[in-house]
Amino acid sequence: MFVKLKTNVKLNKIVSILLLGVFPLLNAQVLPDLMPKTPNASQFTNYSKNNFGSPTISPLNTTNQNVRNQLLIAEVERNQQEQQMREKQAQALINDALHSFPETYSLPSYGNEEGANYYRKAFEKLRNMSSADFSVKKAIFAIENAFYEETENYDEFENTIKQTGDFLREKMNELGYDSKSNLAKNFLLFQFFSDTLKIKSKNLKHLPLTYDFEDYMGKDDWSKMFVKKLLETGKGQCNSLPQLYLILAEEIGAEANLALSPNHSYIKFQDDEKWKWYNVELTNGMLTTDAFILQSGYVKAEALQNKVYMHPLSKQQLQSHLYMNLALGYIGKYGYDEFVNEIISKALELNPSNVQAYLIKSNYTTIKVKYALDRLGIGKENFDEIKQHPRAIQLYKNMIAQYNMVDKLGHQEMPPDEYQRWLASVKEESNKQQNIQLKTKLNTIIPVKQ
Amino acid sequence: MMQKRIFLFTLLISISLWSQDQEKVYNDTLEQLNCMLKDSCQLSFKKAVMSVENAYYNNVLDTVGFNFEIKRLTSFTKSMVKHIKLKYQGKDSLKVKKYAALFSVVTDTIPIVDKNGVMYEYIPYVYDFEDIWGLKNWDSMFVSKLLETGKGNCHSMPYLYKILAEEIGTDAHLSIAPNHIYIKHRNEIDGWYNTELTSGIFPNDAWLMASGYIHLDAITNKMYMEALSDKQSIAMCIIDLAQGYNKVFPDNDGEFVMKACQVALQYYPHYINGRILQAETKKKVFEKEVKKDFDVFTKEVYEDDFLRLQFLEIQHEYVSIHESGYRRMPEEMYMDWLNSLKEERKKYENKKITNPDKSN
Repeated sequence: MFVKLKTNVKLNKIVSILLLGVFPLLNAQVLPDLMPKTPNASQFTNYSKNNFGSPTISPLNTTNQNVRNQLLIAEVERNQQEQQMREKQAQALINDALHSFPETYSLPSYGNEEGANYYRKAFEKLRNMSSADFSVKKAIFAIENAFYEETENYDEFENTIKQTGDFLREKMNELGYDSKSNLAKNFLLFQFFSDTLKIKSKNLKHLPLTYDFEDYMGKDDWSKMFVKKLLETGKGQCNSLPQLYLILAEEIGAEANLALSPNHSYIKFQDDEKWKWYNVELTNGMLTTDAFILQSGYVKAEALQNKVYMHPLSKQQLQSHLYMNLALGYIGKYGYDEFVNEIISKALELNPSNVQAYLIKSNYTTIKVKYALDRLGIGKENFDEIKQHPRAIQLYKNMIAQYNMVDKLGHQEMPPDEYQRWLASVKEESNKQQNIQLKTKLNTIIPVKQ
Repeated sequence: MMQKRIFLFTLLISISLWSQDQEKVYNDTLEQLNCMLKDSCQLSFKKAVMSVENAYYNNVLDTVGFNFEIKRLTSFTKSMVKHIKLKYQGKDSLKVKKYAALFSVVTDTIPIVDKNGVMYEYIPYVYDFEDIWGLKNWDSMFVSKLLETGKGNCHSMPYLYKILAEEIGTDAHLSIAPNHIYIKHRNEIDGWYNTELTSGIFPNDAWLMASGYIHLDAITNKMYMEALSDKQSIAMCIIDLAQGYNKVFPDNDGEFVMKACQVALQYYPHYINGRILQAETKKKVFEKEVKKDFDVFTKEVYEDDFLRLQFLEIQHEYVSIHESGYRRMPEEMYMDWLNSLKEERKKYENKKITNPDKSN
């Protein structure tokens, strides 16, 4: 076994490290050591240091011949036993090493597939942005453009946003809203999404943006999730609508935050005194109460306590969310590989309670475990064999840890039809009433130009 | 005449000794609970609850009877665990079986057949709609009362549940809502879920959150709906102890209660009942001092540096309690809310849990 390995030293690093560990084991027989340490798999690389130390108390130092002989025999026997044990352990380690060429424990990369490098580039672009103060517009464009393999024109996109911004500024002016008020800007933005807005003097008109029921989760076509698609068709869903809101808020200098709820995202903004928060439900163009979101029945107390749901995301948390979006795009187009893990790790570094990122990580680790077990030939019938593969066990444990984390953060899976039912319930009479009340209230408290 | 006087005198002495004794019982109990929190003694929820109730009864609680009854229920629960059948398929199904058995023992009517084939019916504990907050009789909050009468409330029932969980060697987390206590469990498939003993239902969190009875901030700040640890539960017992003390010694100087609050809040700093009791006690002490020095609250009080600072501190505490999301819930509103669970059962029932396909 050892001989065979020696000829294969070039195989890979793991094996050569192992050999370094095994050689001193062989030497141990030659140089008797009175106090052999119990071999331990995790210590095997240290034997070189331990074994060549000075054997101060040796049976050879004793004067009595009989005693010496007895001691020597016992010594040899013990050493033989030790040796057998070590060989056994080394064998297990080597067996594992033979199976543990890196590709067993890491997923094959999609990096060489056509267009995949654009995602790398987008990832780099995001990484070069400050997490405290970055342009939402640029970040979202970079993410969507990676999907389109950088065929989109940024200037064109920026121009559209600027024109919309001009329209909004013009309308602010026409309505006589105070251009410094955050409340006024957000209320106008809300109307831009939900009502028909006209600027009489310039004969301009903007129709409300609507919800696209078709493939709203982007299962068949990921680009359905994009702001680009929303701008082109006037139809979006709960990902693109709030994102466009944030881009336009940035354009006109309004402060608004993204907030999450099960399978959903929406906008939160504050009044000028920073007392009261308002929720904007863009899929139906309505102002909603917290109770509406809670009525979904899928918000757990833990999710609120960990600030996963219904909490205004800070700039940094938003960036974490966008990284997660980038990863989803990559997964949609190519699949799970180590690059996904890289993106998700960054997302979790920015926001350790990003539950969606943990969900992706759970999937990623599951796929990885499955892949490794397939390669090792371990199935349900012979699952016990996983014990011989410490690295596989480690992967398995890591997978369980991800699921526990998702649980701990208070996530609860909401079935898509339940989600649709809940979203439709926004049109129930009580919610409509709330919307009208909130709108009327806002209409009366909007600061106007002095 | 002389004899009568002596008799009266001894009576007086014994009464004062009696109250001194109970004072000591209370102090000892606090010490005992604190010892559990400090990890110097073994933590036992059963012991904690029993000694709190025993202190209220001035050391005459029938602890042998209490222990016997708990032992009986424990072995009953254990045998339930063996016989219960669940649809639940998770790897932790043994644990979930224990939870299901506990739930049955506290809330279900269970038919039992003895060796001779005679059928008995095990009658569960029921919710007592009289005096739900122990305003008339403090001991209606007690587990000992529940064991004795079979009637309990949202304090004694979850406490009994937690005691039995501890006895059969599994976990159960107390969790609080306004004026209410319920149980939280976690399993592998459903994550955290709620067990509501007063109506025997597994409600989802929306029951508490969307009801409109709880301020969202109060949930976010973990004032309510947090799965409490064993130490936090002991801290709750300490506040129970202090409240009982106030009932026994209505005119006390507040010293014991303050001490109890300090200990409890050290281990459970956001415990709302503890925070309120502490603020109320400070207020009571403050009012006494004002009465002693000024008789009525006037502007002059505010000129006294010591009292002014005290007043500001109390005020600050109340504001902070309000800001963390606390709102007082009147009894009627509370009853409406509890009833909403039965009336709108469909809406608030956790369908995944309410399917245990029991064999009985």
